[in-house]
Order: sequence, then C-alpha cells, then structure tokens
Amino acid sequence: MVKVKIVSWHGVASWTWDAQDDACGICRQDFDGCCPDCKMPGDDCPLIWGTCNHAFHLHCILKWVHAQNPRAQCPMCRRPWDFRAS
Amino acid sequence: MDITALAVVEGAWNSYLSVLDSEPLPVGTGSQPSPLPFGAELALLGSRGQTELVVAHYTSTLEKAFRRHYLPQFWQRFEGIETENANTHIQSEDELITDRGSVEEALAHGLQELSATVQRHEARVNELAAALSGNGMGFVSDREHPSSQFRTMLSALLVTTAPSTFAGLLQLYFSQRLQDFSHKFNNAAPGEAPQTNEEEDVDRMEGVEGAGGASLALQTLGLEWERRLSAVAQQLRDLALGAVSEEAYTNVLKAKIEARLRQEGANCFEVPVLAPALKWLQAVPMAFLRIILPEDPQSPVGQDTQLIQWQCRLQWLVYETLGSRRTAELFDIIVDYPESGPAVEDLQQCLQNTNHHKQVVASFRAALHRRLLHPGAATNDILTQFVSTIRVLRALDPAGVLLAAVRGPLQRYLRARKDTIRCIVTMLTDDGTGGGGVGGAGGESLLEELGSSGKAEMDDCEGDLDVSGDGAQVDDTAAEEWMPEAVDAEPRRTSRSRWVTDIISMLIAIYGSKELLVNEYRALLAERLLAKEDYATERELRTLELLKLRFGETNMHNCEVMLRDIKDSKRVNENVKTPGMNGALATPDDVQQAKQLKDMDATILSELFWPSLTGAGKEEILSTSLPEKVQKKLDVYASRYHTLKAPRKLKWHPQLGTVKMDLTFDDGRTMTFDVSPLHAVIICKFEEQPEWLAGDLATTLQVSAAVLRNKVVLWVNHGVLMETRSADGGDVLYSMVEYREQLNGSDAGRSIGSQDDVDLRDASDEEQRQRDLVKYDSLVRGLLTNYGALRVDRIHGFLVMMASDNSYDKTVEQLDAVLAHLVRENKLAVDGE
Repeated sequence: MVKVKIVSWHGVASWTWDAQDDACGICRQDFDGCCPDCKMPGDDCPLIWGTCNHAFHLHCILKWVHAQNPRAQCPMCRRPWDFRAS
Repeated sequence: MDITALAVVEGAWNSYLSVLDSEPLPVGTGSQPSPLPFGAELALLGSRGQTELVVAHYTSTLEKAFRRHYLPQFWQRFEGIETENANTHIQSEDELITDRGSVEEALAHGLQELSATVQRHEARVNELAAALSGNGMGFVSDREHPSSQFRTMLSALLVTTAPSTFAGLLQLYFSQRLQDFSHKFNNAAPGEAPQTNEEEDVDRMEGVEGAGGASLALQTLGLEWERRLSAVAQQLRDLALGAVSEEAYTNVLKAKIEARLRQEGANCFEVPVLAPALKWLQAVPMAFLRIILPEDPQSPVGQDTQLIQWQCRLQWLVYETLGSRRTAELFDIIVDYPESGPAVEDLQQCLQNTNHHKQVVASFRAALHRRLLHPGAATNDILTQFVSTIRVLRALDPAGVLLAAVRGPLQRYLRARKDTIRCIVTMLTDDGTGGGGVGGAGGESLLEELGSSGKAEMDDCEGDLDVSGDGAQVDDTAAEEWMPEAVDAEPRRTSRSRWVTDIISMLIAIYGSKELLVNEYRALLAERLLAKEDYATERELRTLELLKLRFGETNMHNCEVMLRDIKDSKRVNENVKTPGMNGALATPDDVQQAKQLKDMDATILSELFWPSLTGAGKEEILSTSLPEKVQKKLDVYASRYHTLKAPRKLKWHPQLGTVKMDLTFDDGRTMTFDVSPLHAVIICKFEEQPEWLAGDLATTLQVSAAVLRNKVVLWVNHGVLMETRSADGGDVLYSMVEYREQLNGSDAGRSIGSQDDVDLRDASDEEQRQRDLVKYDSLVRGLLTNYGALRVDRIHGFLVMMASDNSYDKTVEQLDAVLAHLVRENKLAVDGE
C-alpha cells in the first residue's frame, strides 16, 4: 500500500470579525472591510463591541461617541454606550 | 517692276543656279570652305526682295543632300550594334567589355564627322545670309534667319530618319560611361573591391568624400575619357538630339540609382541606407552629370542651375524608390524593431520628402490583414506587434496621424479576441524575471513604458493646471515645438486626441475602459500571490506602484490590500507557529501545538478585497474530505490565530493552497510532488484502498466526475495511478501503481491517460454542454410549446428576459449550438433556411 507523507501544507484562509452581522451600522461598510477613513482592513481598522453587544468600526463609534457628549447612546438600540471589556 | 529689272533678277537667279549646280555643296573635310562664288548675284537677288526664295531653295537643296548622303552615312555606323540589353548591362560588368568599344567608336566618330559637316554647311549658310542682306536689309526675326531654318530642317531630318535602335544605343553608351565611372569611383578607395556588402560600402562612402572620390576616379579614367564624353554630349545637343540623349541618360541614371538602392540594405534594416545613398548620389551620378551637362556660359540656364534641378530630381528619385520599398517592408521592419531603427529613420526622411503617407497607411493596413489579423496569429504576437507598431509609427510621424489611421483595425480585431486582456496584463506586469508565457523583452519594455508614460501623463496634468510661474514657461517651450497638423490628417479627430499616443493608453483603448484591465490584473495578481509559498512580494509591489501611477490609487486599492495581506500573513504565520505568542509564557500545551504546526503555513486573506475565490474553474472541496490529520492541523492553526487576533476568526479555503508530499511505493520508490490540495486529497484516498471506481471516488470526495477526471490526469501522467476499464466495462477504474513494471506492462492503461490529457479541455467543455442542455431543454421546450416556432434570436431574447439572476450568459451563437444539439437528439425540429 502506498504511503503518503505530507511534507508541508500551505493553506489559504480568510479572516472574519465574526460580528454576527455584515455591515457596520454607522458607515454601512462591511465589517470585514474597513471604515471610510481607512485604507487597510484588519488590525488598522478594528471592530469594537459595546455592552449591548452591538459592534461597530472603532473609528466610526469613536466619532459618534465624541459627537454625542456627554452621554453617548448605542446608535442601534439607544442604550447607554459603554465599551465591552474584552 | 520694269522689264529690265526683271531680266537682271532672272539672270542673277540663273547664274546662282548654275553655280550651285557646277559646284555642289562642299563635301569632304576641308578646313575652311571657299567663299561663295556668287556673292554679287545674291546681293542683287536680296536687294530685289527674293531673299525668301533663295533661302528656301538653298535649304531644300541642303535637305536633299543630307537625306541622301550624310545621314545615311551617319546611321550606317550603328547598324549591327546590339542595343537591346542596354539596361541589363548595367548590372554585369564583364559582359560590357564585348561591344563597348564599337559603340563608343561608332558614336564618337559618327558624331564628330556629322557635326563637322554641319558646321561647314552652317558657315556657308551664314555667308549666304550675309550676302543676301548685303545692302543692310536684315532678317526680320531670328527664326527667319537661314541658319535657324537650316537647324530646324536638320533636326527634323535627324529625328525622322533615326533608326528605332538609336535611343537604345545612346542608352547603352551612357550606361557604359556611367559604369566605367562608377567602377573607377569604387576602386578609388584603396583596398576595397567594388560591390562589397553594405557595411564596408558605408565605411567607404564615409572615407572618401563624394567629390574627392569622383575627382580621383576622373584622374584614373584620364582627361581624354572626360573630354570625349563631354564632347559626345555636346555634339548630340548641337545636332538637336539633346532630347533623345537626355532621355537616354535619365533612364540610365534612374536604373543605376534603383539598382544601387535595390542591392543596398535589401531585407537588412540595421544599417542606414538613405544617407550613404545621398552621398553616393553626389559622388557618382551628379559628378557624371557635371561632365555631360553643357558648361556653356551663354546658355540661358547655367550649368549650376541645371545641376541643382537635376539634383532635386535625383534626390526625389532616391526618396521615392527607397521610401516605397521601405513602405512595402514596413511590417517586417516593425517586427525587427528596435533593431531596425535605421530603416525607420530612413523611411521617416523619405516620407518627409515625398509625402507618401497615404501609401504607407494603405500598404501597412493590407499587410496587417494579410499577416497578422487572422486566427493563426497568437494574441501575444499581435500585441507585441501592436506595441512595436505604436513605437515605430510614433517615430515616423510624431503628430500621430499615421498611427491614428492604422490603429483602428488593430484595436477592433484585438477587442474581438477573448484572451487579449489577459495578454495585456501579463505583458504589463511581466518584467522578464518571472517565468511566464510572454517573451521577456517585450514585457520588460512595457513595464518601463508603464512608468515613463505614467509620469508623462502626470506632467501633462500639472502643465494644464499650473497657469502661473513655471507653468507659463513650460507652455512656451510647448508652443515652440508645435508642428502644424499633417495635411492628410483626419479632420474628425482633433489633434488633442491624437496626442495621446502612449502605448498603455492605446492598449486600454482596445476596451475603452481601464476597469476591465484593472480587474484582470487583480485576478492575475490573486493567482500569483496564492501560488506563492515564500510570501515574497517585492516584484508585485514594484508593478503595483507603477500601475498606481497610471490608474490612480483608488482603482488599485484592492490590489494594495491583497499585497498587504501577504505581508501580514508572513508575520502572523510566524507568530502562530511560535510557542508563547502574544508575549505569554509558553505552556507545554502551547509548545506541543506549535510543534504540530511545523509543516503548516497559511496565507490569510481579507476576503472582500480579493476576487471571488470560488466559481468557475475553482473547484470546491469539502473540509470533510480532507485527511483527518490535515484537518486537525487546520483547526489548531485557526484556534491559535483566534487566540492571537481575537476576536477575529479564520475561515479555511481548503481548495486553495499548495501541498508538498512524498509518495512511497511498495517497491521502495519515493516520489515528491507539489500539488494542489484536491490532488493531495485524491491520492490520500488511495491510502485507504488501492482501487477506486471513478464514480465512487467522486461521490466520496463530493466533486463532479469532470473535475475528478481533470485532477486524476496528473497522477496518471506521473505513473502513480493507472486508468483502466472496470471489469464490467462500465466505469473507469483507477488503481495505484505500486510497482514500476506494472506500468510498463500495461501500455493500454497508460494510453487512456495520456489521451485524456489531450482531451482534458474537451472533456470539461462536454460537461459544460451537458449542463447547458439540461438547463435549457425544458425552458426552450416550454417556450416552443407555447409559440409553436421561434427564431433563434427571439428565443435568445426570451431567455435573457426570463433569467433574472444573470444565469443565462450565452451568446446567440452559443444558443444556436445548444439548440442544434437538441435537434440532433430529436427533441426539437428546425424548419426553414
């Protein structure tokens, strides 16, 4: 019987934020893409979750939070916005 | 008038006649004719108004004498001299020797004798005129002067009595003289044989300055040679044979020039021909003309003026001859470009002087259709030729008129080819270092073109935008370089549009938009990057930078992300495989996992930015069919990635990537392969059982039979698997080749495999057609049941309308083929036409 030995396996994968949703509720861009201000997806344009479990591009929600001073609410559910501890 | 006067006149006339009878016209070669013996009578006749009568009578007497006596004598000399090959003699020197003596002898002596006779008679006529007008009554006009009447009579006689061979004879004579001269001229350069090859010829031309070589040649030929030639030419002119002789030497010079151009640079484009030819024109034909043309200072047109006229004519001949030949050869010149640069330069100068642009366009278009734009030519070759054409025509005509006229058919044709865009992208990005189908040289220069033209375009924009300061200066220089539009430019196109002549724009113009090109590049880039195992992207980065210059950052953004992914993958891949990632302490479990992944690598993509990874030609394999140990490693990898990059997760594309594997057979052989995952999965199945029916294997792996067949071929070709018919003759049976002898013994099995390799394409086409048939069979039949009968284009229209999700992607022709198949299966009937 033939013996197959796999010397090396170079696989291809794609990453995803696994956000249970496709697009950011603020900029309507894909989570796995990047916010309108960014060029590079991934590390350069991360996602952030609120305590209400809604996710946004970090840059998008920061802008929103700054605009909503003093007490920001989640754009989706109107609950007070707090960053979820990871 | 009274009777006595009449008697006197009659007496004078009679005595004139008698004298003329008794002493006829002076024959022979006496140096000075005796004075007219009837001067007194003539004066009387003249004074009585009988001048016209006397002149007419005398002239007709002379005419008779010339017709009967002198001219036959003259023409007789040339009888029997072969003149038919006057022109061909120019070519071969040895043959010339044979009768060159006789021609020259006959012509020189004949002419000398005849002109002596003519001169004597002319002197006589002048005396006659003087005597007639002795009382001071002159002739009203020059034309009435007896000597001019004599000349007219003589030339009429010569022209009418000349034998038909005379023109040829003159031609032969001049061609011999010219041959002598050019031969001596060629020999004038020391140590060089005449008629050498081009290169030496050019050296020689440059070594011996035109006039210097000519005078050297004259010295060797001797003063006598020059004097005789010049005398013959002069005498011909004097005898009113100037027109005939001019025609003769014009022909000779023309033939000589054409012959020279023909032999120079025939099918050889690397050497300039025009400049040496013009130099030679000065040195030989013009010097020759200098001898022949009259140096008479009193002639209305001085020799210099005449020479200048001749020079213009001959130069034009050179431009015209060389130009039309190069025009005919333009296609080959372009094929050889840039080696053929000198030929292009020659043609450019010729065109400048002849304005034969129209002919160039017509002949080149014809050549294109005949030699390039047909199914036999590979798209790559057409594109390469297109690029060279752009370069050459741009050199020929910077205004771009030629190019605008020629590029249309090329672009139209290329548009109709399917693989054009792929070829363009390959040419653009292949810089010759990477392996690839396209020839290195063309690709290399195109990549450079990408850089240079991109910059040029940017400069252009700046110039347009910048109105003040430096911009104004730039505009000034541009204004000075402005050239008027060529006369034969197409008025429909503005000069502005013609200015855009850089190669990339032309290539893009084939499709009219750059999006197609960018997308194709993306697909190609994806293919290349996914095939990489070493994460090296320097070359692609360089290309991308150039493309960004050309197409703008936004258009190339996806590609930029793709390259970033590869770069990041390298880093992440290392991190994932190192125990104690994220600066945490390495737990034993951690070390264990890292060790497991030693033979694992991964390329991690930002999927949104990549072209669709699945779809036509990219077969899916289910992760369930992966070998268990591989699947486990993938899972470990993914979980470690998740730890590293939380909350991000990995999604594997098991059909992509590369696998390196060793196969060890029962007879101890070991073979190493680099294959795709699907290949690997297939062969792994043979570890479980040595024989698989094709259908079973396909079901197990959950791939279609066509895909399986497609992949198995690789193993069959490497002699790892054997393809046979199963015992019941139904399905194909694949079995492991464990012993090499097994393979040699069963050629039959092997031949199926290799044949399949050839038929691979057909097989998948067939598969595709089967799918089409199933898909359209019911649709079309439903349609036809309702409508009875429909034309193909109407069916096509319906299908387009009904397929809301773009699932219908056939052209009318393809639909036609599908329907034809249905007809063959007796499912449909076709009527009419």
